[in-house]
Amino acid sequence: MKKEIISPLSASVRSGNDFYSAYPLREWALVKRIKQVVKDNICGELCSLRFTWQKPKKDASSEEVFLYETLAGLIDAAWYLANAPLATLHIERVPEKNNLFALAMFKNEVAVEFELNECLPNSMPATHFIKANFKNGHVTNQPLVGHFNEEGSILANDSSMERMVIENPDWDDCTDEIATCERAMMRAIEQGAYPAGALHSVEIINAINYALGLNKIIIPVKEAV
Amino acid sequence: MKKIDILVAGTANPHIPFYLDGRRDGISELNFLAVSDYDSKRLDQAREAMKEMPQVVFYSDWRKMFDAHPEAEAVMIGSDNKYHFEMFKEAVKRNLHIYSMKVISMNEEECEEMLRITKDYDKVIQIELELHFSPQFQYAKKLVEEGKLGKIESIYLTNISQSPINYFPDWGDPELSYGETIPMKPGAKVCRGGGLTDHPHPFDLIRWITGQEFKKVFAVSAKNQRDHLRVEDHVAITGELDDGTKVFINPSYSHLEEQVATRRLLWPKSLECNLKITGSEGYYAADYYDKHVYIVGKNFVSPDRLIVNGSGRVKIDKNDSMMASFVACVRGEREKPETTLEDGIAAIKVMNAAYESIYNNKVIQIKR
Repeated sequence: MKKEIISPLSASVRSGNDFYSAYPLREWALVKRIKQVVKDNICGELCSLRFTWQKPKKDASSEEVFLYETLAGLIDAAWYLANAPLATLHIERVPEKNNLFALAMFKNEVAVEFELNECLPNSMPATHFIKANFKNGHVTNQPLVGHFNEEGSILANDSSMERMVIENPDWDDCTDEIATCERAMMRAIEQGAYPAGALHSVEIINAINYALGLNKIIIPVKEAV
Repeated sequence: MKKIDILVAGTANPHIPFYLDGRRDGISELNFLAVSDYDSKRLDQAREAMKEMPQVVFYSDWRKMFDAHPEAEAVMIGSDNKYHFEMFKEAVKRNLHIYSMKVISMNEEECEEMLRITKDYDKVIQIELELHFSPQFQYAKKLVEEGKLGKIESIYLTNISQSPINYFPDWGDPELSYGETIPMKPGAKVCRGGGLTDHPHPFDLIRWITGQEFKKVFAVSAKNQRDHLRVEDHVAITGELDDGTKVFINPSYSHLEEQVATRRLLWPKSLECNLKITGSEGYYAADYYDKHVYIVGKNFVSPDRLIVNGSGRVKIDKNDSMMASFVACVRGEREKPETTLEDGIAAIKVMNAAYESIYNNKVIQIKR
């Protein structure tokens, strides 16, 4: 028998059980894992959820898909996890853009935050995260640090994306963490906070040459104290 | 140059220990005269932190401390929020420079009174909103001001931490924190005075970065993760600025800590302060821990756990910290504090609107 699968928008105006509503995010492994954690009582009671859905604008969907499939699908996933009827939904949307924040409350006082942004510069990849906060733990695929779980800030436009390390906002070379070390060294020297002299240069250079078997020993390592 | 003679009125704020034990930048320009706290445990902690400063006198009554030290030039107000107002008024009466922990007061009538009595005040008043000195947020402000991101369309900013409820004396009391006991929702046991009251930074940072005021907010609060906490541990807010920019803010205690009497994180990051700005021409994302390290150490502040921490920064300006900025103002080297009483109060108005939104489950327009 043919299985009819229809969009949430179509399903909203149809009755009966002779069709399926397309909520593929119910089958997202992350959603299923959180559901299992709830079922197994691994982290206690679920309290709040945050959904992060970000895409570059070149991959943005139509407005109808964005609102009535993506947002609807994320609300359905939240409902599935909260396991209680929706009580409140508030949406703040950038006019005419696939960019919105939404807040939902379910009857059992589970709060859900939605960040949906399909207006990222075209140089950026999509990211999809959920963070679930429980009374006794957390479940998430969200980065621990920053946008991609890597150091620094992100500055992007349609043609490029830079990972920046901003030591000081008026420095131009924010993209290179090691270049800032050189700046810092120069400053430390100016302030007298950096030791003068060869430091361990002799031992280090000798050690490298010795370890490589090169006949360029300046002073034998054992004599360089 | 002569150090600034300063009093510390109350040690309830979790940032105060950083000043007393010298971990905050700019402290070397201060001469601590005295510290007060009515809570003997907190006062003992202050004594321990300042054991290398024999000149410091400790008081259980802040009024007696003020009376005993007419030579003081400044006061650091760090008590429970409820007592900030009385301390502030007394400091003004004594013509002291004021460095106050946030929030200055969640009572807006008190806020208005503070503005009124300091309208022509010739001393410095600075509120501790220290994220102004994080270079990645300074850079965000620069990008926005220079138009590098185009028209700003949306801003996402979190200020999520653990709760100090288990290890900080008297923490989580709605009366002490919010100033009065007001349930989050009609009939609720959980009251105002938690994560939202404790985290004014996002409201201040968004105003500072954009130069825009908040127009309206809508907020929700989940059931508490911590059953023993009498104040809210989750709030999420959406809103709009005057220029139509959409905002999302989460100022919660959503990162769990262990149920022990010391600071021991469960979620391995004490602070999630993530900023994302979407503009018509570009995108910028920054994390408070922008140069992160992972530390596991038996003597680390949260021992024997993998903890995300920052690795510090290179400072090129000696005034590049909240306290150094205050000191520069006191000495007349800087005209205006980095974060003023007006800034602190503007954030409070948005925060109270968020509380009102949660209570009434509706959008609240910000009062001007």
